[in-house]
Amino acid sequence: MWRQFIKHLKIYGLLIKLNAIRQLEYRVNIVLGLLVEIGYLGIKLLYAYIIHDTGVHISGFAPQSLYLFIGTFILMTVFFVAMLQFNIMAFDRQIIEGEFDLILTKPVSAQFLATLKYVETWMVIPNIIVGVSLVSYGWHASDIAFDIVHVGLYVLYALLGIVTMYCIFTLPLLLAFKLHHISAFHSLVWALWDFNNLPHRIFPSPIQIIGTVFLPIFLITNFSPLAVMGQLSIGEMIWGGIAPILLFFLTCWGWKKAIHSYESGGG
Amino acid sequence: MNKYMWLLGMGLQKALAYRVNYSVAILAAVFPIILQWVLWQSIYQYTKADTLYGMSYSDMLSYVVLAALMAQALRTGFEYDMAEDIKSGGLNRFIVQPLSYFGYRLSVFVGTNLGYFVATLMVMALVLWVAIQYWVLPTQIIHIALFVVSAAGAFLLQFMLFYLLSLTAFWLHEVWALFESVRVISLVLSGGVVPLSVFGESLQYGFSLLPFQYLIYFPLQTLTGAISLEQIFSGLLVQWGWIAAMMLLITVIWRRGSRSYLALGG
Repeated sequence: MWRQFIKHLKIYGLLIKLNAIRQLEYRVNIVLGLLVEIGYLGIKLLYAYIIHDTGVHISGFAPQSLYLFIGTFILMTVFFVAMLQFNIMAFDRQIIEGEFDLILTKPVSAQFLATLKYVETWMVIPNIIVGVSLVSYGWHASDIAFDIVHVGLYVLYALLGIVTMYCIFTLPLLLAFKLHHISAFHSLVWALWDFNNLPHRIFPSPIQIIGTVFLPIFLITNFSPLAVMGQLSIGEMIWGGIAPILLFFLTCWGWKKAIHSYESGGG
Repeated sequence: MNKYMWLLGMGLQKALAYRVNYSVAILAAVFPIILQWVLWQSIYQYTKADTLYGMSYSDMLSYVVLAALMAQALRTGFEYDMAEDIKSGGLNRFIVQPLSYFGYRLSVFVGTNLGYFVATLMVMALVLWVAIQYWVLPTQIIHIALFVVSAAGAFLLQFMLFYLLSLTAFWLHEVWALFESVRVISLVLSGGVVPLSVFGESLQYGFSLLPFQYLIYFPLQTLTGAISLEQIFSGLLVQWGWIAAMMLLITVIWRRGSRSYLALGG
């Protein structure tokens, strides 16, 4: 299992390189893509502006702590856009058009290739710059120690958040094997993703429970800042560690089941 | 005229075939509404202010809910088809057929979106009823009537804006980023995310010189009775003035673009 993981990690590194080179061929597209991403980033920053302007404390968090949440959300958007967005958009097409046949013949995991083969590299640069800046400012202003324990905790929950993100947005894609057309689902995905723009404790308790336990979307961006601020209970810390692993196994199991429904559409 | 009505009917039939898509889109609009709802609730509770950015809590809630719905009602998508028509020679058939391309696109757009638009207006009517009953919104019948006029203007203005953008395909190869950039900018500058009063007076004055605020902000100001009747009528004049100006610009650019059009595709 470990060897398989390392093998796929190496392949993913190659995919990043290949995609980056391929995208460099169309430099104008990169510039235009950056413009679009800056636009969406502006909307995210609008929330930061309102929080700054009104000085609101949300669930006891001062505005400077809230920047840590918004910054983490922007950084996670980097992974969402780079790893998932374009794979989600292209997923049903490869099943409808029979492109999936080719994926099945490759000597690597079909799930890995079908869900992660497109990597968006250059478009996410503004999100990286703004995300790192906001997290740094929020970290410093919230008086969080910059040591190996805190940074390690932040990175650990961020990595677990990435696994959760992959699973939550991959599981519904499996419907494509049965329904074929799932384009309507995309608008739901983007809307769900934006739910992480603010700390989950702003929402009423039922939404917090649903978003933490049943559809753990809040684990993606909330747990890393909460962990470094010492705001996670022992139960939440354990759940934050277990849930992504459970979800990952559920996704792999669901994939194996769903793939049985695949019918080659390419003729 | 009959041929355009037939196209409109075809568009409507096509839209009705994708009812689930529309339901999902409306469902997706619920999430940003919840996000904005809890944010503004926290802000008003924390600051204990009666009004923020010139709006009371109930005005703000009514606005963000109605704005999210209005943004859904003004969805487009035809711009990609138009760009494809221009690039791959799809305009050829309009050269030989007694059919105006503008008329064709407008009929299909109205047909495809009319169902969405009316259905969203019905959801908005429900929200408005709640707002009037529970949040004491000062909306009167005259506001609703004038809103329908301004919403129809917004619908047409949105079409004109994206039609105009699509004409850039005569000269540009990659247009998707232009479409998406303008869509995001338009969403913010039209007041689709937050009311324009959030940006402060000087920026708001700058935005008032652009057509975007007549897509969402102005129709909602009309509906919620936030502006006087005089301001509504002058706003309507400016909105329809923008529509006329866009129409003129479209005619000029279409003529120029047609000269550089290559009838590809045999």
